[in-house]
Amino acid sequence: MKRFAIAAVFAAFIVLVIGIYYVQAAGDRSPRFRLAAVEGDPQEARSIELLGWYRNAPYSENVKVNAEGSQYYDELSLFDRLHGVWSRELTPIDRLIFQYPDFMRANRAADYQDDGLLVRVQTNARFEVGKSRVTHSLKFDLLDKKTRRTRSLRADLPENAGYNGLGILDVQRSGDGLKVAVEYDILRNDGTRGTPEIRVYDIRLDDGSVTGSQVVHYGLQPAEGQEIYLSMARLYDWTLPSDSLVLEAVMTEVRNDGEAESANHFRASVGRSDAVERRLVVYRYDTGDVRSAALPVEPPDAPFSERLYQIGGDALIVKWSAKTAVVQVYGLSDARMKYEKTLTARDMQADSILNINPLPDRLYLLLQTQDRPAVAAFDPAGGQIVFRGLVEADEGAEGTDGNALLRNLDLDSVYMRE
Amino acid sequence: MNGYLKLTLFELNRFWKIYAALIGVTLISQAGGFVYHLRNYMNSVHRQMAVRGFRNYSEYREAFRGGDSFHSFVSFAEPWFSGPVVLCAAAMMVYVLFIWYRDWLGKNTFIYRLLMLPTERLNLFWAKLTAIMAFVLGLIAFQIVLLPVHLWLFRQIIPPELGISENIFDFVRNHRLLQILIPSTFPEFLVSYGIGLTSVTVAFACVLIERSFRLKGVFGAILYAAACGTALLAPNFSDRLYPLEAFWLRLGIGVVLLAVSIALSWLLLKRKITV
Repeated sequence: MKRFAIAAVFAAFIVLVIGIYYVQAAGDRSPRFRLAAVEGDPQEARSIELLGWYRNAPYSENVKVNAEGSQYYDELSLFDRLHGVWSRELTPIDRLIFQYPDFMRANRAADYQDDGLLVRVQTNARFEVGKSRVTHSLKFDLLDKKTRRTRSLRADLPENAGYNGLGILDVQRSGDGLKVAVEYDILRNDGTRGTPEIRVYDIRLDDGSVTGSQVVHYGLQPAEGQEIYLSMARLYDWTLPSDSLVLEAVMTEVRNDGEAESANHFRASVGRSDAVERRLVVYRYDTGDVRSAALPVEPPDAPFSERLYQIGGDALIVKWSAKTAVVQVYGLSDARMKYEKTLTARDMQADSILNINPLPDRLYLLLQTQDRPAVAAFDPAGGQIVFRGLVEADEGAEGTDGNALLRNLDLDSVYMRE
Repeated sequence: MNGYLKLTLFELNRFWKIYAALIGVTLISQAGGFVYHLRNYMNSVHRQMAVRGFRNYSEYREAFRGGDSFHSFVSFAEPWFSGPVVLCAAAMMVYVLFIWYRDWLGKNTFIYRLLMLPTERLNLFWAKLTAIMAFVLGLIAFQIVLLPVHLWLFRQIIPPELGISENIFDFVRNHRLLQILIPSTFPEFLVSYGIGLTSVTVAFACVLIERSFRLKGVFGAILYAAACGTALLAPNFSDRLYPLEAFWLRLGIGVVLLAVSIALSWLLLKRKITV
């Protein structure tokens, strides 16, 4: 009987300790935060979500803050974590995985979507030994969003001699077909690059045949020792329809500074490449017109970061440092600068600018005020800051030194809430 | 039921000395090692304060950028802290096999007396399984009880100017060993220890396969364990499954393995192992 009693006490000890631990753990909540509108439409605050970390003594916890409150990754249930609830709204691909899980299964990529169609494109290269050449083809996976039926197409690209690399830049729909912008590159054996070519192919959607193509002349011609680098403008969601292909073309001069010995005692040429010419290039899918504008060449040690964004019907070149962001807005129809706007941290009632994120029709600036994170939305169409928001610690927490809690909050990106 | 309870008590009773020793080692190593380390730290702080003429801990913290967390202090004493946890885990893994073999390999082949008891032979299996799970969960519960004790010791020895206190849950969530042994949420706890329960039943089945077929059984047991492991890990090898789908599949496979291992053990105990 005594042994039964000891065993019963042992069992009760296990159940009680583990039970109490998990009951208390469930009630252990990190500080709550909320995004409050201080200027502009409060609806704007409800449409975005801020992502970052809360520094909790020696740890950091992933946290999302929106107008309704905050959510910590650690507080998600096991099933929510496995279900990808945390990242469901963060990127276009995550949203598509939730909407079309079967199409996205095992190949979590997409290049274009509209109301009826979702498209994924992959490149294939085939080396023909006898002919010593590489032939390229495109594989399309298509989902009819209404019927949920999928099909695949293969488009064999015509030979484009001399180029040994190929990448997809953009895919758009045009009538009954697709337009696919492809960048061809040349990488030589000595490590130098040839002049890249951008070609837009017309592909029939019913059989994948290539019905035409057009070279996008971006207006740079490199001399000996010069190279060209092309990059797409950053978009919030690259899968959505756009009538333009927006690129930045940079011509650099490669300077050879002689040879140096590496740690492995190999001698290798050392050099650097400095930008000598930059252009904004806009290709219109409907007309095939190419418009370009010369952009100023900034010195490599310029005290600011620079990025090209495509937001709504505009291209934005943003040069930003901790205190200032200079936004140059270019129209996509003519690639001409509409206006330039200087946004200072002080004008936005903040101490510094932490990061910049493009959303579908806004440029969001993540800010830091003296004691808390803040956010401001710039509307490129109107040229004004249309919204300013401040993060607040929730009631209760604020009373227990909310400012200290807010100082431990680091937010670094902005996302749309779907 | 009575037979099962008596056998369970018997299994609990015959291991209690080693179990008490494990608990004692854990207590002495963790608390003793932690206090030893904290006292060493404070001695060095006092020496520095005397040498540099600091009047209080705040001046020391300013000069040395002091102010470490409970987690950091535990990390400095990590061998003392995690060592006994690893020892207990290893001991329990060995005992999963030894709980059967001691009956066969001990004096007078005790297993024959157990098998001849007037109760279902499967009760022997349940009793051993219950004992193992109770020992494991008992160690976890003991570790949970020890954590506030360590935190209390930390607060007693390290002045608030030099030590950043934190809550136990954050500590467990971020400690590399404890976060595995004490999952963050109760559903995760059920899943983790469900996997543990399945592993123990698979190990029991392997022992019984070996005991039933001897040398051939060794190969059979290895084959069975490998098949079970492969089945459990199979969902990891598919990139077509989303994480939640892989989880449900793994859970289903786990339940099947649990049922198959219990059924196999029952069959072997009833039909194959003869006295």
